[in-house]
Amino acid sequence: MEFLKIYGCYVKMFIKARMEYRCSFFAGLFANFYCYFITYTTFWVITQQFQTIDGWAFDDMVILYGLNLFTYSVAATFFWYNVLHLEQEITSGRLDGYLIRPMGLLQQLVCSRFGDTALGQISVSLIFISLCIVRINYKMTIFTYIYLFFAVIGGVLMQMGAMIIFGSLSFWMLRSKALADIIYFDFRTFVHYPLSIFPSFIRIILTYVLPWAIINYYPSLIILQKVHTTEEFVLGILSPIIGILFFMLSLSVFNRGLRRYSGSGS
Amino acid sequence: MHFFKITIKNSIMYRWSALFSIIGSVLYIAIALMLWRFLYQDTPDMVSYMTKYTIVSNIIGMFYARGMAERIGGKVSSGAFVTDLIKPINIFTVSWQIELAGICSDFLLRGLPVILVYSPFLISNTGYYNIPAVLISIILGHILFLLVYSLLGFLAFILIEIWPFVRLLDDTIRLLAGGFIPLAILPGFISSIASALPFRYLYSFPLELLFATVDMSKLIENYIILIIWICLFAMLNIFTYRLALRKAVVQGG
Repeated sequence: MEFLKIYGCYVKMFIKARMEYRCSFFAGLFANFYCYFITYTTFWVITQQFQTIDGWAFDDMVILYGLNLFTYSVAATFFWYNVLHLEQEITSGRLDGYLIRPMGLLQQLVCSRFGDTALGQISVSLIFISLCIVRINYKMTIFTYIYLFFAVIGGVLMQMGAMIIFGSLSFWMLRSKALADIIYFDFRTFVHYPLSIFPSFIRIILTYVLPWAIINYYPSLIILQKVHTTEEFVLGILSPIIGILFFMLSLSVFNRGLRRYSGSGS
Repeated sequence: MHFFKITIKNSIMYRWSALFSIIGSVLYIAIALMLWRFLYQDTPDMVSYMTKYTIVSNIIGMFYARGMAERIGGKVSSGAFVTDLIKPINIFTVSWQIELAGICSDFLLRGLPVILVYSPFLISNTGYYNIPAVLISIILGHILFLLVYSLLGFLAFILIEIWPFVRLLDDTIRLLAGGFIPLAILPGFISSIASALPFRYLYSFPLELLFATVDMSKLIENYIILIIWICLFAMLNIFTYRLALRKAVVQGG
């Protein structure tokens, strides 16, 4: 509770500071909104041309991509700037400064920068998902709404966990951004599309090795009633629990890395 | 050459980062290829066309330097722009040289591995035309791209933070230049917006030239339009630069 109060103060101060340059602040929000609007447009163009992508129409694609984007954006407001990009704090030597303050390192990193620009992504994904839910209302039951709520929480925890893990790798590698770019960002591009269009080894990798499909693909299968196998159903239903476990794992990786940290030599 | 050496050294300073960046480029193309292969699974000709299209468009993309806007914009917002005024060099020329060095190093470190990895696809899918015309269009496209982004950099005098506008431009180009989705499959109204803007000369034009025979008069017409766009953006750059020099106030030492 105490942390939330402090975090609220930081966010308030941050917004005040950002509002000094009002045009830049809103331009940042709009840029992120527009970027992902273009991505949704790309899906619309593809589904206009081909009707569906392996049975996934535009509305289905919106749920699939929207779950990924929304959970990513919520996680990014807390963890994108200084946790995922922990390498900047380490290589610049700033991390040592955090370590002598009376607050947990991760909490300080979260407080140090509010990811305001992700609000643009959150709004665009909320708009598209809401419109889509209205259109596919016939598929939505009370169970689906409850499940969607927990799937989103699981997805957010998973995205937060991924940002913490890839940031923490800087404790060992000093620079981990390039690794995150490929394993987190590039591999996550696969789950923008239904995994059924890719070779089966990719589905296995994205489910059991880099579990990005748990964030959106399996939950989407359940929401859109596209489950065909027991494996898909189990993975979909367990996605919130997997999210919690993944987040806990990421915290332990972070603490392990921190114990190993002995300064960057900057 | 000095800029090139420095950029190469910087790029390979963190070897793992360089390696991951190569893998990332290869993977990005692989995802697009798998998508197109699936979508056109019933028409092998289209699969072959889209394979070539995706690989070559990604290679062409390496010749377009995005850093210009942030390089100039950064100098403007930090004030370093002023110290450049007393140097016997022009901010635009220096930034261009740095960007060219970046392109060369990027091509060596990422472009060549991508070409090597995907060479079997490029060789097996024959049917390349107008190669000299394609090279000219890429050079002109490079100049156009540079001018558009440098204009954005100079606008930092007004906009202060330019990254949102760089992003807006990046995303517009992503959809309307034909780098990922060929303009021919865009719906009518988006396609007409794309034809009215200069961005189609960056990807769509060279790719159309490369994969099909083109009527000479049409080719010349496209070149003329492209050169007109370049002249327009060059004039806008000169105008903005001169306006900036007239309005800029230097305070303190």
